[in-house]
Amino acid sequence: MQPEVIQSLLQIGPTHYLVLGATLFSLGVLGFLVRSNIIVLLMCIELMINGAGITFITFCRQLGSLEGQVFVLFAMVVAAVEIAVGLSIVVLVFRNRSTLDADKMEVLKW
Amino acid sequence: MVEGRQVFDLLWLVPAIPLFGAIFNCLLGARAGNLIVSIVGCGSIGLAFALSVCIFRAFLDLPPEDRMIEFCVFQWIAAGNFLAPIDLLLDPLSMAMITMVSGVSFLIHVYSVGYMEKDKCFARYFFYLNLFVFFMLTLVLAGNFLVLYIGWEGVGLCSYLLISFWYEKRTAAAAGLKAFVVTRFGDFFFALGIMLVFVQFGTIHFHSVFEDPAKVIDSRMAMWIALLIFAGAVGKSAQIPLHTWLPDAMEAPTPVSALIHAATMVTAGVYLVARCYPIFELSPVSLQIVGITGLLTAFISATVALVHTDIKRILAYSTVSQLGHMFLALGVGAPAAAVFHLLTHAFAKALLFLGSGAVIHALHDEMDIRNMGGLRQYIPATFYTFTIGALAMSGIPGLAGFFSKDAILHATFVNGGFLMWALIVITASMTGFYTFRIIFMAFFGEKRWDVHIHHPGTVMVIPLVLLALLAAVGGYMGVPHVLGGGDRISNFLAPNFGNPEVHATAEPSNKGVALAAEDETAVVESEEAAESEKVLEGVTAETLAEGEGHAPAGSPEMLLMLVSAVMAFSGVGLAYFFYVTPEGREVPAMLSDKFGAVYNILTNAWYFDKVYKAVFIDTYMLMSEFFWKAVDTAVIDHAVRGVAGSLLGGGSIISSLQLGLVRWYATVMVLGAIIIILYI
Amino acid sequence: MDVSNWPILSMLIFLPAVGAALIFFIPWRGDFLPKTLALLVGAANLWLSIVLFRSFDPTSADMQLVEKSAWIPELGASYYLGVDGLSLFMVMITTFMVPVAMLSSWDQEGRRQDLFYGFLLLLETGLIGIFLALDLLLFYAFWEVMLIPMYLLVGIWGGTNRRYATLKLIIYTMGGSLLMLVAILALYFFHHAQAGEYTFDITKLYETPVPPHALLPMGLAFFVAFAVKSPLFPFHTWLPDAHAESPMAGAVDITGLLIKTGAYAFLRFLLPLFPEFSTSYAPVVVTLALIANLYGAMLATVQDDLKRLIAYSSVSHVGLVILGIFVFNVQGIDGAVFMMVSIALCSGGLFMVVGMIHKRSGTKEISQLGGVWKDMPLLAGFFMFFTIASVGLPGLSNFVGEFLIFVGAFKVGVLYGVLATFVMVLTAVYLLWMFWRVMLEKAPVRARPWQDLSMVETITLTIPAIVVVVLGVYPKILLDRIEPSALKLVGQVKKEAAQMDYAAKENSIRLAKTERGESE
Repeated sequence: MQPEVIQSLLQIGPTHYLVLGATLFSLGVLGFLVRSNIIVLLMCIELMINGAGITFITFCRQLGSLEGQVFVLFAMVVAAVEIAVGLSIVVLVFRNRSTLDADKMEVLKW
Repeated sequence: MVEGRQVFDLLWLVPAIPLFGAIFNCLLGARAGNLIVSIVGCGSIGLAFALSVCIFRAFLDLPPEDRMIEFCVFQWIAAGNFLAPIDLLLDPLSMAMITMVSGVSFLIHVYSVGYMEKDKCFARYFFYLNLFVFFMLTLVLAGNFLVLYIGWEGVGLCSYLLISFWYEKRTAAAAGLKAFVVTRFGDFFFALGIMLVFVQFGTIHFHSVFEDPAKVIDSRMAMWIALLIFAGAVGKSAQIPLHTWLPDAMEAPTPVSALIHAATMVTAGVYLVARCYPIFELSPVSLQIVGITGLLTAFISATVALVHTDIKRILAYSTVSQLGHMFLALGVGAPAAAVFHLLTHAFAKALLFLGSGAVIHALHDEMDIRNMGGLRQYIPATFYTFTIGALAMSGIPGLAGFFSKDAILHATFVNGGFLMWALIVITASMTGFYTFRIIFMAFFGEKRWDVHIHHPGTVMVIPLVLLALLAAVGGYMGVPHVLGGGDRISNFLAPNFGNPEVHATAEPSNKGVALAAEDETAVVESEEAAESEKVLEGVTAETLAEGEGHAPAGSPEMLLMLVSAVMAFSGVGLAYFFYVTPEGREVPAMLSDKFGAVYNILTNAWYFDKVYKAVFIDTYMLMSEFFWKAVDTAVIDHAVRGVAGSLLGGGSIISSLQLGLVRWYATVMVLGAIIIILYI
Repeated sequence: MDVSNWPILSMLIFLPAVGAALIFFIPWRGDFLPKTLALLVGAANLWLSIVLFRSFDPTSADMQLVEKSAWIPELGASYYLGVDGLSLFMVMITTFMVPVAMLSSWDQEGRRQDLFYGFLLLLETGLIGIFLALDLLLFYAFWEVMLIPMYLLVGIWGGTNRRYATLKLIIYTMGGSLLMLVAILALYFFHHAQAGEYTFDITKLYETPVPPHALLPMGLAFFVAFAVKSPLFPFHTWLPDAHAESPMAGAVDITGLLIKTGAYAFLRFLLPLFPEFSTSYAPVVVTLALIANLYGAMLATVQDDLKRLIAYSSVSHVGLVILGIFVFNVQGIDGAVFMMVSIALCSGGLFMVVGMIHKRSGTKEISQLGGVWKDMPLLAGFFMFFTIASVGLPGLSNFVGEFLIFVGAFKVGVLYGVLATFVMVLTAVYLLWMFWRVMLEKAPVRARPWQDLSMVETITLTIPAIVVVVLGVYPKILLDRIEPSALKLVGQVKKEAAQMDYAAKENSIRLAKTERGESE
């Protein structure tokens, strides 16, 4: 491998961040699709949000604007709220149905 | 004079006092006890009567041309140019009416205290009765069409309430509904008539409309207005073809029949036509229709009265028949005679009804005259007063009914022609027959009952005696000139109807000529009218020439009078022959056997009720049922449900994609996102 | 208290909403306190509407007490309220009937009465908003908001078949109002194209001429929305079901108030926004109205369910109201507005009486009743009163509205007048026949006699009864204030006709004055 290439790979640039963000997001999506435990699903959602957040920050840094940061701050707040509400719902659901399997929860159809 | 004026300012109190009585009895009557209720009930009407007598005296002091007093109590409805204030109008016609109405009502109220004393709903009864008097007085005092309409509908309501008074009886409930709906059918036309008046004249104020209607409308339009108004009168006054409710209305307590269904409310139609006479005069056709309707009604209902056996129904058909006489009078151009007959009939018929009430009361609610008999010795006061009423009713010379009926017969002969006159004279003899049939069957012969007689109390006898007095002498307010009288009633009513003597002949032809100038088609009619009048003038020339003086015996009018008196006596005599003399006893049964078909028609009252039920009620119910089941439920509802159903069906197909699984949704979303990205 | 500077209109709208919020979000113990609170809020709103009435200038035809501020400036939507002679009494009857309806169900049994009362208040907010909004978007918002509490009132506290009834109610009304939304937007863009300004302000939209090709679809969209709500034949079949299934207060509000919004919207929106449409299709509408008038009466005759019977009688009466609106003269419109107020009172009263019978008997089938009078003479009196008021007895309120509508129709066409007037016969038939079958004759044997009216029930019925009498005897209170606005509306629809009416009125007043002068 050419030293310049290695050099450029070692030098951390926007691409790394974007790849990281994309990887996190994809992991989240995959996890959401394949796992069935609700808590894991919630964690996967967190992964996706964070992936999107990293991408935001990257571009924000790249473009030198603050809007992305505002977005991320909002996203963090929303994520925190979502976890709080989500987990409490999960607890209630568990109490009522004694299971955390998302596939067993299909009452709310139409 | 100033004092008189002040009396007139109290005019609004005449209807208002009974209203206060009604409100009191409605709100507090149930707790106040019978004594207070009857004091308030009778007292309020008595006060109203006293007041109207005071007003009457002041009214007579006025010179005839000033006898037209108007009041506006307050503005009622005003929308655009449609103005309907609460107007009161006092003229000779309404003056005569309020005195009669409040007076007769007062007597009947007093009688009711005795008649209803055992009833649980004493207060309710007096509430209705007072309310009725309020509406009736409003009706006759009205100064415009809409105020008249208030009274008109109001008396209809009270009539309904009182007919259904004993609400637990099925027949009473049915009769009330029938009375209201049938009269309401007439009211429908009357309401249209009011609207037509408004559209044509731009006002519904009596004075403005009647001052000179010929300026605004031609005879064709006058005919329409007159006929619509007359249709209202037909409903209220129970004329053919809307007469069927009145016999059924006899389900009401008997004093109510006397007050509402004989003396006052049913005569409102006559009053209405008399009030609107200037419009009727414009259209000879409408007057003819009024006259013929009256004549037919008088004749047909008299025939039915011949065969009925229910005492109240006989009187009811007799009322219908007498109202027919009044309309005949209106139709042949003698409105004053109509009003005269209205007054005398009110006295006589109220008396007859109250008397029959006493009989029914005495025999514990027995109404079939076949189950009476021999009552003469048991309730003599009732017998004598009833007989006076019957004599007055039948037109026996000297009593009230004779003079008024004679005025009608005379006018019919002069203006209606021989045929109409003959028919009405036959009817007059039937009147004598059926009235005395009651007397002979109820008061004479052997007794066909075995109950303990209820003797009528003093409160019941006094009104009977007073009414008998009125029925006996009431006719002397209108003794015709030929008999040396002054015909005061016609003169009194002259501001309303014009000079009585000229009126009968000269007036219509003048009108006819005036119309002919405007209307091409009217020329022929008026010429014909003039032609026939010439012929008639030949007959009556003598009378007219003697107009103011004393006619010699043997003049045509005297002759007519003699004929009608003879006919009346013959009716009475026939009744005597049939129901008292032993030889005649068998004749009625024999006749009914021999003429079975005719007898059936008469006992079924010419099949009016049955035909109406089949034609109107059944059809209406069938149509309504059809619209409900076929149109509303089948067509409209199915269309709506079809739309809803198709949406639901489509939705249920698509909703099968919704599994309720979160991860399934997420997968679909991701797939969707991928597709979109690929597409871009 | 100085009330002249208060934003009365906003207070009228939002006071009930605040009351409802209090009821919903405070954890009350028991039903009594929230019920009392609701009643107090209703009474306070009634008082506010009386303040409104007193500060209303009867001589002016313009919008009064206007409140205007930006709402969504980006869209050109504003918070724009105002009151004129047409809406004043709609508001007043709403604020009047809501407390009465509350009283009528005071001792109603069932789940969660507190929520029931909260929804009633919410409904009041929606209704008053509809009557006061002068901005199309605001109007639309209230129009839809009102449906939610109605849906819940019928859906939760209704009878056995309530699901079907609510579904029908929603499908009908939503279908209509979505069409209207499209037409509102079309109007909005047309106005922009012509005036270069985006606005929902109806006073500006009144001036917008609609292109001829769009006139029919747009007018039709508005018409259908309002006709469904009114309800006009053939869009009426939701009403009997909704009536039959709704609880007493709900039924009172449907007859009394909900269906007024349709007729009111005709006056406020359809006529002035689309005058050409209204005049050119008036014969069609009048025909439908006449059909509704007679057809409703006929169907009412053969109903066995008391509530359905009264519902069909509402269809019949509303037919008259719409007839009055579409004859475009002062008598018709005066009569229509008056009639709307009057139906609310008379039919509302009938409903309450029926509800009280239902509570005791457990049935509303006429064939199972009979002879009720004997047990309950007081109730019988009220039943009789409201029946004859609905029949149109002069001196009671219905007559005034009815007769003015008849006159208005008769002026336009004799046939219209004749057909419209004929309903007075049919009304007498079905109402009095109903009265007979329910109240008269001998009662079937009952285990124990039914209790006559309680104190609360007597008061509940007395209040509207008094108003019926007052309006019947002295209708000028209403007519004087309706008339300027009615004249203005007629002017907007028909220029020449209005001038004639003005002239005729001047003339007749002069005539009347001279007559009086002469005679006295």
